[in-house]
Amino acid sequence: MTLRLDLTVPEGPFVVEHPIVLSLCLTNDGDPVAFPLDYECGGVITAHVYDHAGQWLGRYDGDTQDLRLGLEPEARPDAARPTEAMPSGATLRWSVDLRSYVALDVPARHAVEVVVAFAPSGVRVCSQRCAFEVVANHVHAFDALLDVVATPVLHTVQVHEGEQGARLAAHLRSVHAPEAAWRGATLPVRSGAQPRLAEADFATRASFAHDFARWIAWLEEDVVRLRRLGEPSGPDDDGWGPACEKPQPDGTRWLGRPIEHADGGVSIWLHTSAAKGGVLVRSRWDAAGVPLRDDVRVPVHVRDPSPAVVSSDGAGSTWIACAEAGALPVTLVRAGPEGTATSIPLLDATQVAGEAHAGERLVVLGLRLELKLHRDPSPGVLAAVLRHHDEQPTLWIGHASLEQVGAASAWSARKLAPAPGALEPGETLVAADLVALSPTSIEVLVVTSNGRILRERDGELHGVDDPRSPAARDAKLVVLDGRARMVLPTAARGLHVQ
Amino acid sequence: MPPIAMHSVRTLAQPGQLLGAVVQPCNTRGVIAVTLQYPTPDPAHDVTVELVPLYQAKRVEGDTTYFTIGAEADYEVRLTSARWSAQIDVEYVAQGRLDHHTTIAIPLVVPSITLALQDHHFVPGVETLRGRYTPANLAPDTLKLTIRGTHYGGDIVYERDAIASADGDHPLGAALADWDGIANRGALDGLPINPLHSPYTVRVEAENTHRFAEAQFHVLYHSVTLALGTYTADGAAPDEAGARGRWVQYKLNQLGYFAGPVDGVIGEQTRRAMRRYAIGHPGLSERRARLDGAGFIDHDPFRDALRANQQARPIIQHGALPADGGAARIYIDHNYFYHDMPDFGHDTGHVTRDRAELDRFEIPLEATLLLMSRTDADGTGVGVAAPRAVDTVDIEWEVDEAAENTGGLPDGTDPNRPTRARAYIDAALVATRGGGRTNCPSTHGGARQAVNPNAGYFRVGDLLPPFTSTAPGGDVVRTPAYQGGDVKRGRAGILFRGSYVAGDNYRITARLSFRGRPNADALVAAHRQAHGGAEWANILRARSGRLTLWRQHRIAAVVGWPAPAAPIQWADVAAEYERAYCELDHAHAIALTAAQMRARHMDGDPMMPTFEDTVALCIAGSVRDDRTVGNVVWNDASLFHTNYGAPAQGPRETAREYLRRVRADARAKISTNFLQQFATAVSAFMAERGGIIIHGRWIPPVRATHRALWGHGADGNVEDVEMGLMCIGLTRGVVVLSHSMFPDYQDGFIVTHEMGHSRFLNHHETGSDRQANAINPSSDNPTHHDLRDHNCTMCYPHGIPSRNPRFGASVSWGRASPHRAMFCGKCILKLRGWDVVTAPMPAASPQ
Repeated sequence: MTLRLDLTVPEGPFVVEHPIVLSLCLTNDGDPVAFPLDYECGGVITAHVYDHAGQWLGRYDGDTQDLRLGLEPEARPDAARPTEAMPSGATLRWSVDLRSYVALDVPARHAVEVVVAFAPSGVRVCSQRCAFEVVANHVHAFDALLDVVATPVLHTVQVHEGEQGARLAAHLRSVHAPEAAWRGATLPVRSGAQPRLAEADFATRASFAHDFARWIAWLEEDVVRLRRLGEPSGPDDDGWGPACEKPQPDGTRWLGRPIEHADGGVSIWLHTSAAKGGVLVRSRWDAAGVPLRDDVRVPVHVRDPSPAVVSSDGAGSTWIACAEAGALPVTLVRAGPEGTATSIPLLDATQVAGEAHAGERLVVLGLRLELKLHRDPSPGVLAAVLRHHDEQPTLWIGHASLEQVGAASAWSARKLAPAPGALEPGETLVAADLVALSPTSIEVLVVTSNGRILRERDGELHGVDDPRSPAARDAKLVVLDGRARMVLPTAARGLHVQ
Repeated sequence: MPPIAMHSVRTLAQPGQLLGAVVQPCNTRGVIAVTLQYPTPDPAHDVTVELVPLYQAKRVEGDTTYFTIGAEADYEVRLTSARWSAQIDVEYVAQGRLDHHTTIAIPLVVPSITLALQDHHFVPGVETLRGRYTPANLAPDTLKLTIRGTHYGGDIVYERDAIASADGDHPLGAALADWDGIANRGALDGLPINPLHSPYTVRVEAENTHRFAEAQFHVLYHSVTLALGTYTADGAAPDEAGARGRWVQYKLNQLGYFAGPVDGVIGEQTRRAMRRYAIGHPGLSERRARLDGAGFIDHDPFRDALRANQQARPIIQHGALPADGGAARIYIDHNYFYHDMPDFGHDTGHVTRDRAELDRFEIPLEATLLLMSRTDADGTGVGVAAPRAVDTVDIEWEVDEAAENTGGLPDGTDPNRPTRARAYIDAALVATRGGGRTNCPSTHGGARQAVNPNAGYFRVGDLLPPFTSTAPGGDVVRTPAYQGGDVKRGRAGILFRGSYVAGDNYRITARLSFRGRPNADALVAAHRQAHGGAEWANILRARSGRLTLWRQHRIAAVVGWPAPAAPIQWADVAAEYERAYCELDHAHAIALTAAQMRARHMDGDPMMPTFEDTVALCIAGSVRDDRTVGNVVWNDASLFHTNYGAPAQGPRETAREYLRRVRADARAKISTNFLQQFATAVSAFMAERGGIIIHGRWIPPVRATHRALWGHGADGNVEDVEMGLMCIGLTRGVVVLSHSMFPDYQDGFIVTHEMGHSRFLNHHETGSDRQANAINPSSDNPTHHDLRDHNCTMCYPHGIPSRNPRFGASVSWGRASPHRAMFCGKCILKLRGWDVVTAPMPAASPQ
């Protein structure tokens, strides 16, 4: 038996969390030999990682991959694996992301070699050792979304800006072990790009395909660019699919997330200011990125929709909640599948502060639409409104059931205030994200002007983390396995799910 | 006091020669010559002879005194001496006649009393004091017997007048009317005298001549015995109707549930005990006990169960305190598990749970004081129970916490078991010990106090009637022997409270103490002497054998859903828990099929809903994040059978990728949150409380198509794959063992591991957590594990990058492997109840 294993590592350096794609080529120069069909399983492929001094750091194999995804390793013995005879002279080329085996989130120089071993047929071959460098990941902007088409997947996208320029990295993360990713891919982008992940407006149990593909949009100067990350078809395919773009002329603002459709297409919502209020317009592309006609136009009484969130209810309707330049009221728009649209005021200052709110400054820090909750009978809207009165900022946290929109009883709310000393001198609350564990259990994350994060504890807001990053404004709450988890930027290691 | 103060001698005057002298006759005068006949020439002849009435002249020559008389009369001879006495019963009368002479010979004798006690000591109230006294020449006198005690108010404990004074031996018993040691003077009047005023002095004294004799005897403690006491003064249950609270407390204590002092106050401890009883009793509802609180004492089924003494649990191995030198296990019922994820996730969640559910091991102890029999010369005889003669002597209580012997743990030299458990526990015990005591300190979940640790193990006050215990300062705890009533007289009792931490060990000593008594030194000396010169520390104390606390774990049920090919090898699992002083009772587990479990009614009541109905409702009503579990359709072949529809394999998905996604998808549907609800329901339907093992196939096999690499020769491309998914230790002791994973691993690993989760054990090295470049060979939960122990049961065996490279990323704990996993030192301590995260717990075993 004569087998050769060639390992190629692209020229780095590699940013922490970005994929480290190893290209492997196994060549059989000898007699035919049985080789496992699922060679990524168990201990068939093993990566050995060394530090800059050649000190062996560890071995990582298919079991390691399973564990990184929070899955129990498959305990099947090699002898029970289905095999195929590898003909004499045949080659097998594949690529793996080393980071799916091992975190490698400390900037340093490393080396890797790969061993392919399959004891039942006596296969054992080792590649040469290849060096590479991992550098710090300074996240400039990011987005995170837990979405379910067939199965829950935590999608993240982040933009790193470093000496090599700005690079967008998208990850499909395991909900069981969200620090690890099923897969990751990167794209060069322009500096300052603000990425957003598309939310699917459908669910299907036909396959996992839609869970592991996703449109991603980002704003580069005055253009909204979109690119779809799909499943790679082979070792040379990075998985990036069609691209499209939409100019954003003056007076136009891109709102919320893109919406991904069952046909593989995508749409985004743009707001154009008018003399009184504005118009919401949906732009749509098909699966190949070919633009379709702007099919929905909704006049609204909002001139400066900020913040604004866009979400799908999974039943064909898209909902948009926005505030007027951070001020109340909040307006809710429903765009139905048949092209109809309705717009209603959802929340005004009286509902937050009562009749005596005159002179009180109210700022909408965060909105969230919780619609596609498969087993929640009552989709709703979440809002966080900052009240300034008596020098003491208070956060008003409210939840409204969509079934009762417009009714006086729609909102159930509570108040939160920073704990004494929780805020530094001059520090203010600038953003909030909310999530509903249940209609009556709302969790909130608040971002301060100093880039710090506050969470609720014992009825008050307390500092829980200190990323001190401009990207802290993008901090998100996601619900993983029944717990509200924070997706936060770190100083140099990309994103952290806490 | 002279033996002869005045002695009358009467004799008739006789003509003739004076005895031993020449008396010149005289017509007008007479002479009375009194000759004293000393029995011995020596000592000094000191008797002074006088004659009454008056005589004219007196002359002494040698032992004869000549009195010249001038009138006829009956004269009386009077003798005065410091040493001698005349012969008793002889009347010496001189009939003095003129011209006559009278010679009187008076033989002198020695008056005396001797007193000899046969017994050095005796047991008042039980034995009589034996001895004799022998008066001589004191017959005319009046003899009196007194007995005095040391430091006894007024000294005299007993006296008796006019005892026999005739010459000769008199048994003391006769004089004392077989005196059994009952005092008739002073504070002990009517009671037996006791050792506290020992030694006692017996005195027999002639009232007139003041001749006396004295002798000492002792009353001595022989020994102290130690045994379990009772919770009430008379040992009987309080009246159920009139004192229900006390009755409940009494019954719970009798049945082994540590309800605390029987004082009628239904406080937290009693409420916890009621809950524990309800948890342990298949016919009672823990929920009802929790909601009713103190009112549960009026719950009829509860009282019925108590009345019938149901669910009694042993708290001491063999039911009695072990004798000194022996050993016994003491038991805490510990079928308590984490309730929710915050509970589990908290560093000291297990300590908090223990505190909420458990109470310290608590037993009444009674020391009985025995006295030393008159036949026991050196303390080697049998002690005599004489409770009325014990008096209120103090018993001091001491707890000896010997350094734990970890020699029973493997030392890691076995290459198949490279554990560090012994090294870690040794280091932890050194780090946390105080004054040589190595039981779990109160800072780490135990009961050992940093200050006055001994006192911390006892309840002081009057919580164990009729005794009153005090802690007069420092670390001394004492109880005076009770002297009221009859049942507990002569005993000292106290409530001992150990911890609820397994492995803690105690030897309890009840030590008689004379501390603070004015004659303490003399008492100590006397007792030492009576015990053959033994050291004080070694006598008059009773010590129990070693009591080692064990937690009892119970397996309530094993459910086959479906049944595994081979049953669990429980002995292998039990052996792992034994190292943490946890006894695993698996023998009483009930076996259920899936169908039986599905059809099981809550509380066994056919009017209540079935498990299947309830869990279906629970799932339907559960909240959002479980996403798409939907309506469960049950099937005996797998836990989630027809409700799980796997998405189809996509054209670009390899079989591995697809099966991984199916596993992740199924895991997401069967979310931890859902599983916790499922486990809660399982627990609620299992009246027999304890761990519950479900052998479960999660979902039906999934069909996957393997790719063909070179387009030919593929060896079977389509396969129905069993989804192992997971084995998992859930809330309330419910463990699900994956039907396909269970056969692959040793029971001592997989079953032990998952049961460990239910008991708050976290993962160690599983590789599932973020690793710092794999250069930190630590742990998923580094504060919960010995960072140098890579053989911990709470690791995963395969592909663990976080594991120390020297150990290897993968180990085999498969059934055929000789390698064995073992709990690391921290896991063992955590199972025992220790808080393992708080300083100064070492982070790792020493190199």
